[in-house]
Amino acid sequence: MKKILIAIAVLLSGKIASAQKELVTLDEHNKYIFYKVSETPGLPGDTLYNRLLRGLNQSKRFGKLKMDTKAGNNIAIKSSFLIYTSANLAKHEAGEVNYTLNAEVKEGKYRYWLTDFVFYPYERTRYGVYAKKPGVDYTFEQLKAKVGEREFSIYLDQIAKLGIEIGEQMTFYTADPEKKATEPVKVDTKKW
Amino acid sequence: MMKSKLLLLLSLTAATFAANAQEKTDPPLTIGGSVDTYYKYDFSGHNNIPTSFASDQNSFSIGMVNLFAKKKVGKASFVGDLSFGPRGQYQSVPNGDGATNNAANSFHIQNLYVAYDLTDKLSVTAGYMATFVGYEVISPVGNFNYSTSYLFTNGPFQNAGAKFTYAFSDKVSLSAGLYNDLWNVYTAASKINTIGTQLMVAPVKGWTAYVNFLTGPASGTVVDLTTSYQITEAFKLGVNAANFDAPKSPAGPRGGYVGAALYPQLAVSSAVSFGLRAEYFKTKDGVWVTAGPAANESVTAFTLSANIKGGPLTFIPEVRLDNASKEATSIFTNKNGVATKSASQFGLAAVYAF
Repeated sequence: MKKILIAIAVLLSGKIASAQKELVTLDEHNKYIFYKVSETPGLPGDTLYNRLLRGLNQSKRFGKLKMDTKAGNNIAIKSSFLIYTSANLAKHEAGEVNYTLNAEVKEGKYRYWLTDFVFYPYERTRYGVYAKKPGVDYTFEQLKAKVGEREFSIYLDQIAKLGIEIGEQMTFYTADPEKKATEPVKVDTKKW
Repeated sequence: MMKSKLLLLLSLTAATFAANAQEKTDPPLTIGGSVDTYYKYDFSGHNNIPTSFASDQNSFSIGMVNLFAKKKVGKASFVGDLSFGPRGQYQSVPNGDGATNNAANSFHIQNLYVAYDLTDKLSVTAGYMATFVGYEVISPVGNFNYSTSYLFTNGPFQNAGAKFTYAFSDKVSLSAGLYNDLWNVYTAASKINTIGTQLMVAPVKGWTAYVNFLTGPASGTVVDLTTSYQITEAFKLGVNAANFDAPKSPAGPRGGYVGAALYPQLAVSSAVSFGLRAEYFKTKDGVWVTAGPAANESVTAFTLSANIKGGPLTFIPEVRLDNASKEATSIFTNKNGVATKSASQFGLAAVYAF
């Protein structure tokens, strides 16, 4: 039984890892997109919106936000992150990806999506580090032909991981983080 | 028993998700490097062209194994860059400190420095660093041509010191530093008195230009312009121009060199590019000896290379023709060992970057 459980756990972890890149798909405009809808039953739209806005504003991930909130229920953030060559021991920056994070709220649910991916390849500098190759950039729709299927698959996987992580952050923000902040979990060592 | 194992699995899964929910963290330790090997044939039948690397005649030879690691935690980072092999040892870095037991002991260090971001715009870097002067570099991954230019060969390779870099914007930055008295040494001969500055401007997308200045009483003064412009997706043009005045010498006029090189490169597909290096290099009148023509003489060199990529592996077939200004005192010799105006060679290199 123990062996079966371990095998299931290994298979499951492998399945999760290999399936992540499938979360990045093409949309109706043939642009790559990471898209997710989250249910938050009972939460009014304006509460959701304010919690998301506050959380994203405080997020270290996005630094100084270039946020567009004109629509009232829509948040758009332009950000970037680094993509690495592989998950193996020897890895380095392959490039930087600019993207737009969009979020939209309704009564009891919100959706978010990452799109407009633009890849800026890195090259090795004389100082033993990698930096942006001047004047070269590709949309993700162009990129597969440039870097090959294997590399592209690695990049998609990292975008999917980013999308999942941002989703987890959003789940945290929408669950009333202020309340959690004032009531930290404490361990009562007298009762055991 | 079964229930407890399932609970354990669930708790492990929950822990994984909790870890993933963390905010942005420091970048991971990055490790990379390269390996290069080559064959060269000089049509005179012996080694003729005195520029750095690819120096073995009619031989399957090795360049170097290069390994580097970088880590940044918060505002502090380090780079350690090691190399092993002819290109990465006696052809590009100094050996030991000259003591009897250490004279031929290579430390293998190309880069060893630490850096700290004092503010968002100002950083300080200290240690042993690849020089900021010049277009070409020691690592074959950073060059299009496998053989190197006279400007590269005669310029500095590394400078040990400390520098401050201020980024006014993405398009303009200024660096100023204080370095050891000599180039390419791990230890100062006697003083820390070489001053270096670099102005970087990126006026339009794809175009970067560096104006470099390095001066010291023991190492001389070099003024260098290095620029490259990715004009279209397929075409890139690089330019390097430099003037070097050697340090003062009691033996006579100091000498030095002046030169310029053009680097047009054309990608004909995502796997194949062609690049030409056209260089003019002149040695000034004086006592300074260059790896190149004699004083007051010049050399013009044309190198045509292809970069053929197969994943991380790049093949570099290359032909090179150098032409000296005067035959009688030319550094080139023909098959009979007689001075001749020109030298030509063919090379094929393979460079694997990881």
